[in-house]
Amino acid sequence: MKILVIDDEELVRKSLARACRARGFQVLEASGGAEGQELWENESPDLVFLDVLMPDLNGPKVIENLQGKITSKIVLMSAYTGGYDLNKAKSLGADLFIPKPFENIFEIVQVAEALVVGK
Amino acid sequence: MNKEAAAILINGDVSPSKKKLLDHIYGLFELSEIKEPQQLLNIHPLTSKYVFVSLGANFLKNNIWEEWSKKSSRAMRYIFLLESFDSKEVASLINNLEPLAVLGPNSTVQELNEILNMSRESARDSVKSRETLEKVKQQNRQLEILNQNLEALVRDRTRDIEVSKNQIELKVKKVRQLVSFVKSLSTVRKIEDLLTIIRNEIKKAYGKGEAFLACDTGEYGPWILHFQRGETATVQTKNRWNTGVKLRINDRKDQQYLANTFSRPFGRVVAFPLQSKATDSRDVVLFVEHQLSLEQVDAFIDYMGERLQSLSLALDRSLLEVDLKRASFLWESTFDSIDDPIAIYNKDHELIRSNKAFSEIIETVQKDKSFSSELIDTCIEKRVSVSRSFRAEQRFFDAHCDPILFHDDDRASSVVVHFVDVTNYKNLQSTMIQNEKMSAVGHLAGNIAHELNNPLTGIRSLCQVLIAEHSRREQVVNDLKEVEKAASRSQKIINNLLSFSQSATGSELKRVDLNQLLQMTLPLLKSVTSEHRRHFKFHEKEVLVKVEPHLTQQVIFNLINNACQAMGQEPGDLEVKICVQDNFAKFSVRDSGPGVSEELGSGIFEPFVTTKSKVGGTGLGLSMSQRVIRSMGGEIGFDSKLGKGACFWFQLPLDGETQ
Repeated sequence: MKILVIDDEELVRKSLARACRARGFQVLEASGGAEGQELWENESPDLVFLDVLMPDLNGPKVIENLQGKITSKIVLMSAYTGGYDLNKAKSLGADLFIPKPFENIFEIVQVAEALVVGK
Repeated sequence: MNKEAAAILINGDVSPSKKKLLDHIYGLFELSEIKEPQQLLNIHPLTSKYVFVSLGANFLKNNIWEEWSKKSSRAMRYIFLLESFDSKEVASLINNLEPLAVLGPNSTVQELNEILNMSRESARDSVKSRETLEKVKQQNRQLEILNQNLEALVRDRTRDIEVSKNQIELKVKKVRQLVSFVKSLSTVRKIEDLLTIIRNEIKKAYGKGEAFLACDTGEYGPWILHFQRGETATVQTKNRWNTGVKLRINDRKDQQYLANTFSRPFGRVVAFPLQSKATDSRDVVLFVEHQLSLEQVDAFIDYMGERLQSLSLALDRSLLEVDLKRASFLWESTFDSIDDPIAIYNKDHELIRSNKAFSEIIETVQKDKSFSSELIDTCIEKRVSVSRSFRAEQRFFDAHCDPILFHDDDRASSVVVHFVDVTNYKNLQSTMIQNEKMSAVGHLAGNIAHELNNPLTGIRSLCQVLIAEHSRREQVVNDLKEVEKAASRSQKIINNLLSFSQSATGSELKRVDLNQLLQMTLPLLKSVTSEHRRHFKFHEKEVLVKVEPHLTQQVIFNLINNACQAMGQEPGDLEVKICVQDNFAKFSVRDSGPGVSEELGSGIFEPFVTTKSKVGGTGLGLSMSQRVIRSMGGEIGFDSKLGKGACFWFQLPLDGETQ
């Protein structure tokens, strides 16, 4: 499985990537919205971990830009629980919403995996 | 020519010389002949001027001559024609009669004529002198009459003067009395003194009589001022006396009224209504109980009448004085009842008047030198209202200075300074500012929290990954676990900060056992508390409270953490206790640290108040704890003395069936 992690926070990105690789998945990383969007378009990953708030292009914007061009499962992540919840995420086009902080990173990976597998 | 009348008596013989004389005499006079000497008595001097008596040598010697000489009038002029002078009888006759002339035998006609002329002259003279005498007598009489009249006049006048003098003296005495009365009235200030003067005046003039001053001032109802045992006393009456503008003499109703009011029999009473110009709504009557007869009463009324006007004036003054005092008192009480300090200054910065409230801040005002110059001077110069703020100890004021102007173009003579107490307003303002700040901080905190969440998430996630990747290296794994825990704790703190700043009630209240809550929190505090001697006292039974568990844990964490921080590096005593007190669950943490100074007091719960700035206290712990506990219906507090440690506690209402 090909996974794309788009998050401007390095530690989050790295740990998510390593946790996924430990599960044997191929992981691509992008540190910003623009970079992420490009990679997404070119690599067509099965699953994308997408952070909402990013300095250049934010998550929802990326989804919007790639409307119709992608078929990946999207997991939206955010520290701002106030503005977003599952319904909102879905309305934006995401499949799952995970609030930060993560209690257990491996659980996150499991949930995401289940999403893809249960396709 | 008419001959003059004369009388002649021829007695005895007539010598020839005598005959010649006689013939002459007959020729001169109309003679009436007298035969008898007795007839001489019948001759009236007016009818016969002369009486010729011719006596012969031997004239009759009998008493008739004696009688005749005695009875004869002096006015008769006797001319004796004698034969001789020798006779003794002739001599005595002549002595008695004092004749005009005595002619002897040899007297000639010439001599007779001379004598007659002389007598005529002397008669004329005597007539003249008689006339003059008469005149003089008359004049004398007239003078006497005049004199008498004058004397009478003088007597009368003197009497009149005496009378007027007496009258004047009387009048003067009366006027003096009146003047002294009016003088004594002029010094009267109180109504009681007025009555005393009236009473004395009456006693002075009449010895007896009682005076009563009945006054209906409207405000307090009718009252009567009277004398009782040597002092004035007031009696409040229910009924009013008879009103009237006119004087009432011995009116039965007045007598009855006074008898009823004073519960004693009353003698006859005269009522003097006292007209008062300034007090037209008032009814004042002077009653005088007297024992005068009807005749005396008139004089008494006149006597009083002279005094009534000055009485009314003095009464006016006293009543006005009473009014003035009352008004002054009312004004003063009103002035003093005003909570805001008010002071009136003149242009020389002297305090003219001030109210009670001002006395509380007067010292502070007087110490502030710029106060007078800035506020008062500006106000007076510019004749406008000037304001500035003023602080007296813990109170804040806005001092408004307004000028008192009498004429539009003059400088103000004085100013009124009104200190409006704005302490509450200022406090409210600062609270609001504080709230705004808090709100802003809250916002800020919210943002920071979110920002921090990101890296913390990263730290935790990476730790978890590393733990998984190096699962065989126990030491490393343990260390990583600690790191992860620390990060996790940090996140919890941040989340609490978030909920504090949002003050959202999203958190649900749950029924939990406080004992358990403490139990759950202790592991987090292991490192902090390890240094000190720990005593944990749980309540033997469940202590059920309805709380937001996470927040309550945070409070517990805060308090214990603070206690340990206070004790610092030196091992101290930490006592954590949960108990039940009057339907409240009580949680307390006692430390043996330096204690909290009383100065801090309840201010310790203010946000941003911290004694831990070196150690990194944010000063939010206690304020947040207070907020949290209060929002759950509880209260938080502390007991401490400097040097004797501190005990922080909170209590929460028990939920339902805790025993």
